[in-house]
Amino acid sequence: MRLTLLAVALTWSSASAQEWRTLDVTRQLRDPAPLNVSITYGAGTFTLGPATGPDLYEMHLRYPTGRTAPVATYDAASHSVHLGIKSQNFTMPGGDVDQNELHIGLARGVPLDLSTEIAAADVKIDLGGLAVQQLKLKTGATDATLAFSSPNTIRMRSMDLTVGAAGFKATGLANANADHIMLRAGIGDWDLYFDGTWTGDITLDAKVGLGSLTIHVPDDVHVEQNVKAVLGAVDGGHERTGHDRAAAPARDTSDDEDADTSDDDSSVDNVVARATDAAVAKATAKGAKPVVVKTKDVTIVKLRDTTQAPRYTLHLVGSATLGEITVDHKLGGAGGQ
Amino acid sequence: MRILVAGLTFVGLVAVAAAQPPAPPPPPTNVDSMAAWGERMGQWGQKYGEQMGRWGESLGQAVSQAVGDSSLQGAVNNDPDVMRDPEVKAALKRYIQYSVHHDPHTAEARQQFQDALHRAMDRHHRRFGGPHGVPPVPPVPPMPPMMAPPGSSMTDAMRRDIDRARHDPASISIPATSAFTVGMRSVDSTAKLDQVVATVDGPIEVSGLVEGDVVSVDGDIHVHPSGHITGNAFAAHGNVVVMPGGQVDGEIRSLPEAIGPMSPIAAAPKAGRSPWRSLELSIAWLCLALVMGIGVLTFSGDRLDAASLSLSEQFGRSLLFGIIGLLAVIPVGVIIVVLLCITIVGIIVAPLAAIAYVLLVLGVAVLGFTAVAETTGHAFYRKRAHALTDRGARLRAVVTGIAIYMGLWVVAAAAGWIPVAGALLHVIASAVTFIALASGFGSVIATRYDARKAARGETRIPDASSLPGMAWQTPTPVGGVAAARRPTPPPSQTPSS
Repeated sequence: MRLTLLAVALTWSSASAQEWRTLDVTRQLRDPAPLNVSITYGAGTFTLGPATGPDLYEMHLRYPTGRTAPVATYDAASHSVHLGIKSQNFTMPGGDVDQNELHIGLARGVPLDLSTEIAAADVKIDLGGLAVQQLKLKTGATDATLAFSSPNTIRMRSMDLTVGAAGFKATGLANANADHIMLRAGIGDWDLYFDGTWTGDITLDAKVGLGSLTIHVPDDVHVEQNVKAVLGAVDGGHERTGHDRAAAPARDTSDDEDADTSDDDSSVDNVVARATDAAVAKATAKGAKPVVVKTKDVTIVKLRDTTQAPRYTLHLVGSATLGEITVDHKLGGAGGQ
Repeated sequence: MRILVAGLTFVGLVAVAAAQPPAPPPPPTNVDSMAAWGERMGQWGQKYGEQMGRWGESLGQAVSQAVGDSSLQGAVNNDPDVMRDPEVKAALKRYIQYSVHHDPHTAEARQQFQDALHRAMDRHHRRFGGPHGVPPVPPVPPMPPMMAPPGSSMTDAMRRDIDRARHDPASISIPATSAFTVGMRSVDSTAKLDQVVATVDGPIEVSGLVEGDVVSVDGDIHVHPSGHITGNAFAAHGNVVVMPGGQVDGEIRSLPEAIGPMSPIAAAPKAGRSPWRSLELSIAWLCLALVMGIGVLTFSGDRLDAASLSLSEQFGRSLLFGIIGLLAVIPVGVIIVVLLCITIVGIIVAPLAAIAYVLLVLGVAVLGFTAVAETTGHAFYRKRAHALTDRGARLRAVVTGIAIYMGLWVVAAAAGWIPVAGALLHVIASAVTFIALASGFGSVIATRYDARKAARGETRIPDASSLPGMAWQTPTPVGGVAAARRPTPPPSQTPSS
């Protein structure tokens, strides 16, 4: 019976099989002038990152014939390239659609104006190490991940993220080296991680529709929010614009640390307690605000300097129509210079 | 005896196992050179020969152990295949039986076995003509498709492949078929070509300078460290391999898998978007709207009059009601179905209710649109209303109004091939149709709303007498105003009389 079912399945799959094609396009790096990159893609898997070789761009596209029309055009005059697909017939999610794949690699060191429109794909973008001076990312029903695993080598003029109805996660946004980040989100859950190397204040203009936006920032970055909660909710900012900054409840500058390790053994608890008390007294004498952090194996006394302002600020503006915006301060410290 | 048979079987199995030829080398891939494949074929042949030798040796040992006679052993060693001859096998069996039982005819059986062996060897020798003792050579692994030798003439298949590559949606810069050469082509490191290099069915080895494109169909392009292509490097059904140091100023494009034109499904424009198809559809919709409009005029004249009056009296209100009503269509439908599904009886009734609801909405839309068409038609023939009877005038108004609104779509479809004007006309037709549908939809809702309020005595009945030309109508609490035949002036008052 199992073999019969297997045979039926194989027959069906072979009957429904179609011709797949592959297109590999590469252009060697000759001119380091800024490059306009436009990427359009429909359904499938999409990855974008630095080129593996000394190429201006490289593209690997695998697509089913009859459903997708590929595009890879380069205009030398405007120094622009359009990659991906130019049309795609409607296909139901799942099945062989998942075999569609597009990988694009871009040159390091070439200033990039990057515009990407993805309809319904599994998106993984890592722009770490590239020189992105402008980024427009527009996704539809995608599960997208945007990462800056290493710092953007030039200042990014603008970063526009338009997310439709799906999950979106952006990491290393401090590495993006952008002054202004705009997020337009429809329906879904979105996570923005402002980890990485901070080089200046960042303004995040977020307008969310129906969903949950969580903004993860380092604990030593000040968050100043002025978000309109139309019918939604905003939670977790340090203060609203115009308030006294000194009222910010959480400014962590770990300029000085006294650490004391201890075992879980109750026989040494008294010793640990005495050491902690001594460290707290020492910190208080210095005029700092001590904070005791106890973990399983280690007890650390952190000194928060209440007189020093945080180095960087995340300005949060925008609105939450029916969604929720939450600021989470549990990231590690900003690694700025 | 059993031990003997078991031993023979074991030895035979060992011999057969040893005789299995090694796996032939895999067919060469595109990146493999024919020389490398030939080298592997040589290694395969050597390995096969060694195994054949072991096979023959094993067979000889088996017969030697079974018979124990040096003369027979030598004969069988020379031609092991004769042991499979039926006569030999029968003679051997008989000889072994006699030998085991010490039968006096053992010598005779041995002689018969030798005779059978000789006869079998003779037959085998005549059949294969080769020296005894050499096993038949198994078929050589099929030769993989080879690149055509340089200078070969182009076949029809090659021309078809070039055409397929030319019409592939991902192809670029394919020169004329006459520009293609056949088979492998090399550009030496000292060479400098100022033309397109195109080859079918063979790789292109570029070690020199090519000032132009390099195109390969059914073959690879290898750009060696000293190679330089100022144009594009394009391999259809092949790969472009640029070694470190190799330069390609243009684009490097490979289609390693299937090539060919796009299937009609993706290449052709969608059927609903072709101008001719749009024209057909718009004309069909025009005819359908005319039929429905005449049907409404015939079977629901009272409601049509009420809706038309509401439109004429308060167009803005009708439009507002219409927009709100259209926006509420889906939510109301969902609410109805959800409420029905609360109860078991409701679950059963829900599908019918949903169908009834859809029909109700469609009916309201058709009635409202016809009312808009009639009102428009009346306005169009305002100065010539007296030329027909009242019923004729209404029919003419409905037909004219529908023709105006649906005719917009016909015109837009006819002009669909014009890039800007076609799109603009579509936008205009869409906007006008939406306003007509919304206002008509709203007029029907407003009429029913007013009628219900009037029935409860909460609101005024539309004062038709206040409208110019409507003083002859009689307000009713149900439809706002009921249709009535317009009073015609007596013949003595007509201008003609």
